Amino acid sequence: MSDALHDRVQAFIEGAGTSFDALACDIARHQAAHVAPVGRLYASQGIDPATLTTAAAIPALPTDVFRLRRVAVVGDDERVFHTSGTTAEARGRHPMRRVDTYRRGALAWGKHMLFPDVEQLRTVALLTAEADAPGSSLTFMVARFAEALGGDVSYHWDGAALDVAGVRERVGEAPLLVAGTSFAFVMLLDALDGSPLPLPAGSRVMQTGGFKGRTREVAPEALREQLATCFSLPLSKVVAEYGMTELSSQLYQPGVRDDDEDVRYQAPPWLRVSAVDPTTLAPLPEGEVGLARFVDLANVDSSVAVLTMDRVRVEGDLVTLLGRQPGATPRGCSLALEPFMEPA
Amino acid sequence: MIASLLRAASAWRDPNRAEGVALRRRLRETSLLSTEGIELALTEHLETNISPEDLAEMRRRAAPHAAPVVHVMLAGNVCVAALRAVAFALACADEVVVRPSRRDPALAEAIAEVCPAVTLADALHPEPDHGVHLYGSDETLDALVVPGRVLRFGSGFGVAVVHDEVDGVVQDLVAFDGAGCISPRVIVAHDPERTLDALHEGLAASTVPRGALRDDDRAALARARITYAAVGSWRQGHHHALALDPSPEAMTLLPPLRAALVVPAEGVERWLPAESITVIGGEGPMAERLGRHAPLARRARLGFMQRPPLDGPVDLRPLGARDRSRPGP
Repeated sequence: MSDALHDRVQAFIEGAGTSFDALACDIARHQAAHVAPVGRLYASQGIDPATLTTAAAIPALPTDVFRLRRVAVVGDDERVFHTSGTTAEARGRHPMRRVDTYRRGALAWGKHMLFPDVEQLRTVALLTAEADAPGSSLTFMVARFAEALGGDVSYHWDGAALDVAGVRERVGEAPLLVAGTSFAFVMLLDALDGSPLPLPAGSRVMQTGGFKGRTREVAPEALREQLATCFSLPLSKVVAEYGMTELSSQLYQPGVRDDDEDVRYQAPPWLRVSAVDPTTLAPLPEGEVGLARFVDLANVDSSVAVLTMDRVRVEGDLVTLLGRQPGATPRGCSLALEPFMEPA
Repeated sequence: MIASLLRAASAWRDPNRAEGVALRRRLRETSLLSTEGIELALTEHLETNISPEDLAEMRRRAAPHAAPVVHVMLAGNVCVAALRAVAFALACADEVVVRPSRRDPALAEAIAEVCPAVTLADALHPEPDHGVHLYGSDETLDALVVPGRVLRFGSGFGVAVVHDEVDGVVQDLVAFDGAGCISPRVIVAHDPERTLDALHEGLAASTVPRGALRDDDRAALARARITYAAVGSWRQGHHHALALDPSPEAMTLLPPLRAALVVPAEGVERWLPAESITVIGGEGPMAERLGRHAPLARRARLGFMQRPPLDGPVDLRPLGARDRSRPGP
């Protein structure tokens, strides 16, 4: 049903000169007809999909809806990716009828941002092996990276513990891509207890995600510096990736490619990021802080426009992440964390 | 000591007594409720007496937690909650140290003024044999490493079962702007569409305005509005919000801003987390079924969900949702 759209998106990823807005609107029309929550959202706002002409006019589906409903066309799914979560609330899921568009986009932008200069890297993943984590979009992506980089990959997280000895053993003479979540990297740093683990020249580190209460929290730039020191890498070769299960495309800090230390993230051409006012949901002028609204062409069979809870500042194609939008003012039993004990 | 505390509460409840005037003035500074909301809380929900049976039950629940000193960390803005928390602590110990909510310390301050056994502290330093009663969200409590014999009263919410009449649940939802851990945040309805409309009408007719919203509140409501536009239905009034999920698959809560989620009765046990339910309001077979689903939850008639007997903490789940292995009150 959407195969032609997948083909067009893949052509866009490969650089075909299609109009982003036209393609986004065609995808939105497909989703309004075939993805129930998307159709309901458009109807509730009085949007006739036939009249859409710009990506900015497409109503964005909140990420919360991925927890509450199937956000996908009806039919067989090639994969279903799940959000991670440590709360009692349900995890979100992103079913994909086809994963080849996701794969092509992830690989294209990964090659551009993370390994533009090499054909081969050994991959050390501080992640669960793909066979044991079929619902992890991050693992799926890193596994595809590893395939593209020669297929030499090892996984060092079993869902509960980090295989630190295995990571040490993997450090040889050929350069590595070390990829993992922030909390896994913190576990590694804690296990190394200050002792360095120098990586071969040409290596790079990709870290992503938050902590979710699994380890002590480390500020992103402090973690970047600690990892650079630990691995004896230039700061520019330790970059963060921003992705989420509800999206099919990713953003990266441009350090590996540009050899700089910019903390901002860069989106691929097929992912448009804007900031919207948290209350009115209206677009904000460039440079103002608001909620991140994504138009992701690779979300062909789910929701092409997605509203997150992340606060961002967008300047050109660079995005500064500013943390989560707080919920409603803590009231009643929703007490914000206040110190229990203070120095006497 | 509990009796003298309740005598003081009678004075606070009375808007014509100096103590009542002073507390109202202070709550207008600290509470997120409207002036009318504060008045409702003090006149209808502040406990001022206790029956012999309830006192006996309170003492029975307190007995396993007897300690020389009990330290109490209070949660935010259920502005009358401090009284019951302190009463239960006094049933456990002769000396109580309270760390009030920083945002809304009004009633705790008033209690400490009249109750010699109660002192306030900016921080708590319990000894190993002291009792520690923690009130707050699970996230807050999980982040605390606390010495002493700890009782946790964590996140939770009320569930109301509605057949036809909605007046009672409107009252339950208006009290404290629906922000308490026994406020009805989920409404199980036999006819959800009809209940949604009736609740919308009933809440719109309330003479008690919601407290002023802040930017984060408005943002949370905006997000909930478009989420439920995609999932089901949304009704919003000047002082309330309601969502309908006609076929829920997973649990979610609306912001605690006099807002509730209406759901059909069928299959509710599949997705409603029993361990999070503090009180079940309503009667009939569905309420009975839910009572079996969440046996630790209090039971109440609609209109009385926010007025549980003063027989212990409002939340009778032992230690919150995370750990049921230790004895509770």
